[in-house]
Amino acid sequence: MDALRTEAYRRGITNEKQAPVMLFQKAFLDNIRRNGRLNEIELILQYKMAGFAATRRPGMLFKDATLGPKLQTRKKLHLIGEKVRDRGVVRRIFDRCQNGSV
Amino acid sequence: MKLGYYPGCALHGSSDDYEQSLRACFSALGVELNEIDEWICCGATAAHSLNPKLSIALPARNLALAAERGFTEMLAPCSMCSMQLVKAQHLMKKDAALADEIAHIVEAKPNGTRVLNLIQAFERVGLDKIKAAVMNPLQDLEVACYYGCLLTRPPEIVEFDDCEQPESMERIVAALGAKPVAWNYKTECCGAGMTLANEGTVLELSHKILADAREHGAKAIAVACPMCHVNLDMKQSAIEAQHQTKHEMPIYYLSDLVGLALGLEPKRLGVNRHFVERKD
Repeated sequence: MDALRTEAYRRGITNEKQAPVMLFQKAFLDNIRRNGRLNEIELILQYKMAGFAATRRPGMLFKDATLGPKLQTRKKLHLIGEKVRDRGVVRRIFDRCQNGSV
Repeated sequence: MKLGYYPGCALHGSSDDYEQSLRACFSALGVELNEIDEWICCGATAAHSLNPKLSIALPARNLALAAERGFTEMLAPCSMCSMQLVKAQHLMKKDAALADEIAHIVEAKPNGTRVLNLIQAFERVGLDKIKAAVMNPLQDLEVACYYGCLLTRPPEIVEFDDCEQPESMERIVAALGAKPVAWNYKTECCGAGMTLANEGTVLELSHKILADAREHGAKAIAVACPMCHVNLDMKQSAIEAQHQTKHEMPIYYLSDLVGLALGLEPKRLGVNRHFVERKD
């Protein structure tokens, strides 16, 4: 199944129902490539913007918005995400894996 | 005892109550956790789904950083991270050419650091030692121990407990004086990282887990994974609304239960930061 999924991604074949999952995973990896660690707020914004651009459905932007204050109350919302100091090595790892060049 | 510590992104993000809990707990047990400087994300489901080589390289970089700092054992309390780390190690051990290629990609040489999930870290401390340190036995608390998909699977890679009927968490919970319940969904999937992108699946799967725990008399569920906690705790009100039912099931990290039994204050463990509160 993993091999089929990877091949489908490579060929750009996505079932419409699963399209949000693909958008989310691409946004996730893009986030890691830039920061080395996941920045949750940045990921959510990026995912929602990409989803809105693809679907033109405003609901996509506002879904889960009510969770923000609840997370804030529990001190679970971190506006400033972490970054590793050496982001160069993270980019090189991504480039080598994505371009196949070693 | 000193352990290397790989928190993973969730424990430095919205699941930092889990880090608060396990740090307090291991400190009380005399275990020093040393965070691996410059650790990077393990790639999680995204790398696993979209780029197999990246899903080996990202964990391998962390294994190399841990080895460079001389850690022979490293706690990875997120079950996604621990599985990814163990999987990378397993694949590189089987294939020397792949190991060389990955060492070149990550600019460092991963070595044999042993990765421990949360249950294994408690086992490493020793059940006898934990039992002897219990100040406040969790008497009469019926607990459903939930492992999710990744703590025991894939079995040939993680080589931990029985992949269908694990019992290791039950042994810890019993050592705390609580009563582990027998139930059916301990290794079913909660929907994991699909909370945002495929909420319907999460609400369906997690509802079944909560309902089965309740039907088997559980008054709480214990987890050892930040994603399982998010889906069962944070999403519980959405699950209840969707299925027009009330679960009112508190979800504890395993370290919460150990810490409470050791006599630590709930606030110190971050239990007050969960969404579902214990009623009694």
